[in-house]
Amino acid sequence: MRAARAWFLLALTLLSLAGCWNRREMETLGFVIGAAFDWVEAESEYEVTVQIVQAAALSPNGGGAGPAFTTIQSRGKTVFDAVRHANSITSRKIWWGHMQVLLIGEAAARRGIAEVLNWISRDGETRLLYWVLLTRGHAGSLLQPKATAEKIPALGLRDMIRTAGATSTTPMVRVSDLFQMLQAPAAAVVGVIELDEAGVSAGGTPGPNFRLAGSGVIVGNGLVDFLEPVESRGVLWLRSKVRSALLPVPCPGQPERMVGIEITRAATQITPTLDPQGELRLKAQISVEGNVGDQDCLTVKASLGKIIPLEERLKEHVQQEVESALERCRALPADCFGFGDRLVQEMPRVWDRVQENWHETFRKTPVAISIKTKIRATGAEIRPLIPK
Amino acid sequence: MGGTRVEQISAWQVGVLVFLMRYSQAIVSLTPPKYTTKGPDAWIATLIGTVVGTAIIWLIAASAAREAHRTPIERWIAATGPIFGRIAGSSYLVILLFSVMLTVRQYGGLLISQPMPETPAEAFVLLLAAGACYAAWHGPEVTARVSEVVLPLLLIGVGLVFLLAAKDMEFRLLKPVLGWGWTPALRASYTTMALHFELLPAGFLIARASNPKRAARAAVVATVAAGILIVGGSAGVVMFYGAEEARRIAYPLYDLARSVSVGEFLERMDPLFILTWTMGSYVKVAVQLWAATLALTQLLGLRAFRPLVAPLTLFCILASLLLYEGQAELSALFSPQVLPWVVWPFLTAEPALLALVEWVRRERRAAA
Repeated sequence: MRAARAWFLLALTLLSLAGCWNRREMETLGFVIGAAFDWVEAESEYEVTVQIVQAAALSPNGGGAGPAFTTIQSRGKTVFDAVRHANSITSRKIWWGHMQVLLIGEAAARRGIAEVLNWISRDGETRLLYWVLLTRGHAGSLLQPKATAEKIPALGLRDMIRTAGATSTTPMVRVSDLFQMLQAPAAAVVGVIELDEAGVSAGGTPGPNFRLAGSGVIVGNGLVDFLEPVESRGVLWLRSKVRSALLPVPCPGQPERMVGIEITRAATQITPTLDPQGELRLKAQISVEGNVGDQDCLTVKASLGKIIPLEERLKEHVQQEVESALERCRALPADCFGFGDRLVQEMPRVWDRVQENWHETFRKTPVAISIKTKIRATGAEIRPLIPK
Repeated sequence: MGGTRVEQISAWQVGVLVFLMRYSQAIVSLTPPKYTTKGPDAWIATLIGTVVGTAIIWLIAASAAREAHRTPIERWIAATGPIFGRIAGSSYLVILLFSVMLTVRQYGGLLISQPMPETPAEAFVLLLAAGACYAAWHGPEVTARVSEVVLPLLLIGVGLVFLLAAKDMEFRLLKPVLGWGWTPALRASYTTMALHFELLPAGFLIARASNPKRAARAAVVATVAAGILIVGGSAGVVMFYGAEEARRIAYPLYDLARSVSVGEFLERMDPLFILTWTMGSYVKVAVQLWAATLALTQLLGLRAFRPLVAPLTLFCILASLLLYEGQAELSALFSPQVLPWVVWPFLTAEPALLALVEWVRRERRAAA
C-alpha cells in the first residue's frame, strides 16, 4: 500500500514537472502593444491592425538597425476572425497580454462599439488596463510603420495619453472604463487621436506625430459625433475628470493681456431635483482650485485685491467652457456629462419615467451651473518681476 | 464505524474548514450580482442570503452538537431504524456528491474560460479531484491541518486584490440603495441562501470534532465570517465596476485581480488569485469527498471508508464532466429559478425532519 501511495504521489509530481499545458515560450510570441480595429464597409469586414514589438529593439543599446516593431493587418467577418487571420501571416503566436493602446476607427465606432469590444471583453489573454481612443477616419493608418517619427508608435501613443491630464482636453479612458460607460445611462465620451503632420517625436525627430484631438460621443452603441478639445474639457468639468489645465484668463486692469491659471483641483457635484410642478431640474456645482502659473501682464500680485478679480475671471472662463459643451451635447442630443447616472442614483423612480428617451429629455431639461473658484497660490513669487 | 480509527479535529479546525468551504468558491462568482434584476443591491441580496443561510447552518450545527460524535447518517439510522434511516440518509450522499461535482466543474470552468482556454477542462477536474482524493483518503485531520495553512494565504491573496483595487472603488456606485424596493434584492438572495448547501459536510465534521458543542459554535462563527467577507466582496465589486458591469462579467473577482494597477508597476494579480483559490477549492473538495465517502460507507454498513474514496472520486469526475458540459449548463444551474429549488429540500427539509424525529424520540424517552 505504501509503495502504491509513493507511486501515486510520484505520478502527480511528474505531471507538474512536465510544464504547463498552455505554455508559451518567449521567442515564439509576438507581443502586441497597440492595435486598431476598423470596419471596411465595402467588404462588410473588420480590419485589425496590430503593432508587434521586437523585444531586441527595446534593449538599451538600441537593438541594432532593424525596425523596432512590425505592423500586421488582417480582415475577418468578426474581430476575432480578423485577429485569427493575423496569426496566419506571422510566424509568431500573437500575444495580447501586453497591449497598451487600442484605436477604434470612425466607421467601426459608428456601426457599433459593443460589437468591436465583444472579443476583448470575452478573451482571457487581454488585460483590461490599456487605453482606448477613437480616430476620425481609418484607425489602422495611425499604426503604419511610416505614419509617425516615433520609434514605437503605440508606446508613444500610450505616453501621450498618460500626459493628457495636463490639459484635460481629451478624456483618458481605459477599456474597463469604457465597458462601464457603455452600460451607464449617460453617453460615453472617449478620447480622439489624429496625426499632426508637423509634429515631433518623443526622441526629438521631426515628422508626423500623434495629436490628442478632443473626444467622440457614443450614444447607445454608436459614435454620434466628435467634440473639439475645449468642448471636451467642458464635458470633463461636469464629469469631475479635469486633472489639470492651464487656463488663460484676462489680466485684471489689462484685459488684452492674459494670466495663466494652472488648475490643481476640480470637482463637480451634480444634483437632480424636481420643481413644484414635478418637472426635472439639474444642478451642477463646480469647485475649481488653481494657482497663478504665469502672466503676460505685470499687475497680478499675491493680494486679495488682485486675486479676487482673477477668481472671477477664472469662473467666467470655466462657465464658458461648460456652456459651450452643454450647447453642443444638447444639439446632438447626448447626455455627455453623467446627469443620467446621477439621476438613477438619486431618483430611481424618476429615472424609470424618463429613461426611454433620456437624451431627448436631457436636451429640454434646464441645467443650473454654479461655479466656485479659488486661487490658492502664486508660485515662488508674491509679486511679478518688474524691471526698473 | 467510519474507518479503521476515528479521526478527531479541534473546534478551530472545524471553523476553518467551514469558512473555506463557504468562502473559497464564493469569491470566484460572487453570484448575486449576476442575478439582481435591477440596481446595485447585490450586496444587500448577499446579506439577506447570508443571514438566512447562517440561521439554517446554526440549526444544523446545533442539532449535530446535541447528538455528539454521530454523523447525520448515523443519527438517521439511530432515530428511525436501519432501513428507513438508510433511505433517508441516502439523500445526504446525493447532495454531497452533487457538491463535489459542482465544485470541481466550476474550478475547471474558470480556468478554461480565462487563463488556459486550450487545456481541456478534464485536466483541471482530474488534478483537483486527484489531490482532494488523496487528502480525503487521509481523513479530516490531514485536511484540517492543511486548511490552517491555506486560510491565511487565501485571506492575504484576496485581501491584497481588494486593497489594491480600493483606490478605484466609488461608494456612489452603490446607490440607489433599495431604489426599486426589496423585491429584486430578495429574489437575488435565493441563490446565496441556497449556496449554504455546500456547508452540509459541517454535520460530519462536527461529529468528528473532539468537542462537538464548541465545534458547532465555530461552524456558525465561520459561516458568519465568510458571509461578512462575501457581502463586502460583493459590494466591492459593484463599487469597482458598477452594477451593470458586475452583473455582466462571469468572474468579477478574477477580473478585478486582472484589472488592479498601482502606479503601473503592481499589476497582474490574477496568478495570485488563481493560486489561493486553487488551494481553497482543494480543501473544499477534500472535505466534501471525505463526507460523501463516509456517508456511503455508513449507508452500506462498512467499517472502513478508505477503499471507497478512489471509486467515488472517479464517479464524481465523470459525472461532473457529463452533467455540466459547459458554462451554459452551469449558469442555468446557478439561476434563482433552479439552484434554490434543487437544494432547498436537502438544506432545510431533511435536517429539520431529522431534528424533529430526534426531538420526538427524546420526548418519548423522557416521558417513559
